[in-house]
Amino acid sequence: MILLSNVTKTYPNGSTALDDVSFFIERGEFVFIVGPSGSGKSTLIKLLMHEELPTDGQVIINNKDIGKLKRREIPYLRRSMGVVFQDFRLLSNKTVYENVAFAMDIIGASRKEIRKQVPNVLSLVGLSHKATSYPRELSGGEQQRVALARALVNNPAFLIADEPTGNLNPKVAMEIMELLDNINKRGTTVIMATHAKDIVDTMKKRVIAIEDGKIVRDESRGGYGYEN
Amino acid sequence: MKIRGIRYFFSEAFKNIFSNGWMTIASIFTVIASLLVFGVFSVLTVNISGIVGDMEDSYQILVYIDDKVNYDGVRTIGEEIKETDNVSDATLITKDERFNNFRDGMGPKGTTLNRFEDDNPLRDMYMVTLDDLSMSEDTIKVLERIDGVDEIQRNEDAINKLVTIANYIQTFSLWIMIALAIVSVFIISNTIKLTVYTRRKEINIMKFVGATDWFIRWPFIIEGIFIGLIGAGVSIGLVIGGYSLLTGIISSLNIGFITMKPLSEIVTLIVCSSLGLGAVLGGIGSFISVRKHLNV
Repeated sequence: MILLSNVTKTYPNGSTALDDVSFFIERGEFVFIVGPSGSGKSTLIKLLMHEELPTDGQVIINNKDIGKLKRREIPYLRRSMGVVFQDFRLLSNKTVYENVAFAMDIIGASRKEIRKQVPNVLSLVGLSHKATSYPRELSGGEQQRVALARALVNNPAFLIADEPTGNLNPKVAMEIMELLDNINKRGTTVIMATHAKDIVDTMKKRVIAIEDGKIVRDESRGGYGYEN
Repeated sequence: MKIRGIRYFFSEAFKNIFSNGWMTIASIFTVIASLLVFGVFSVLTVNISGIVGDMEDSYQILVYIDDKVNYDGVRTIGEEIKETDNVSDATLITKDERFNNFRDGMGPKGTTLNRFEDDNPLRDMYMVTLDDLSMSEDTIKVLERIDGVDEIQRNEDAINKLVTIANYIQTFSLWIMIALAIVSVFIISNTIKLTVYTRRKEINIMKFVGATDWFIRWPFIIEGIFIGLIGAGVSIGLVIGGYSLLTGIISSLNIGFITMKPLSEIVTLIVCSSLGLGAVLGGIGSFISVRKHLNV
């Protein structure tokens, strides 16, 4: 579970990115976080990943106040969540297989576990046949699938997606959404920040709308609610 | 730590070393320069303290006994000298022995001294060696107060000068070494910074996938240590080569009072301290340059 309790984030330059934000996300939920650019979506994602700390209030993940984590505990928090970004962030000198295996290398998985788990997750995202390709040989949609495979390979409880379809055409974007929905149905909590109206309207999932750092709407089975 | 982890760290480290070859070579040369100076000064220091030590060992105070003191009195004074603090040993040389030595030392001409045989003008004398040379002043004051001691002869000016010079050289070399160590750390850290910069994307990914700080750090630290060790290896070769060349030259010149330590005595010191220092400098350099990038 994820709980934000009266979270305020003010940056050193004085701008307030989040203002008294509270919400609760249950295990297994699929949640869209929507809002215009500069509304505070990215800050919210950064708070969840412990890239930024709240100025006020608490971020609680799996019953732990992550503001109180020691520096050496942060990596273990991040292992409980997979992350994908708009720009994919793949390593260009590594193959698809190596990019995914890398995430397992880092947490000290054995070679045997890696050989078993990487093909599994590649088949989940439908990229088994591209295992030996390099990112530059792949389309945008395929690259995002690799990023998803990497995010999922260590079986995280949460998947955090920051504008995952931002660089993709609508058809490919819908394929990625289908994949995220499948992942969610397998039990992973999915939190996705986006301003893709069509996607949010089609999916009929919980929507948390942020504007000027405040939650203006939080409804289950909602729509985007803005005209882009 | 798992074997797999270690293998990963080393393979990453070596990839880094080869991917920025020129900077690596530049860093290695800096390390060589620093450790070369370090080596030269260590060798110098060791030899100087060796020479000072030899001189200390052979340093003697000559205590002359009053001519009026009889045979038993001379013995008693000897006991008193030996019991004095800081005196390591005292050897009696009687006036007859001195006379005979003197005469024998003159060879055939010595017979001219025969006329003094019954009226020996020389005094009985103790040759006194000390434990700690730096306290010789105090010891001499005590010895002077012993009844029957006529005169004390010493030759410590030369020794004192040498000790002072040795101290200056040691202090000076210490500061030079510290300065060079700082320069080396700075240059190694710049090299590693370059590696870190080219791999910042990878480090960022490692961070959000949940790599620990040490997992990210190790390859860079190994890279730094490797640079330090290579530099140390070359400088060890140069110092040892130069030293054996120098000992060869000096022994062929036949300068009696300079006795250099044999190479075998300094090899261990140079090898161990250079390798150790090289590794430490490299490790610290890397640690500094990675630190900033880990704070995400």
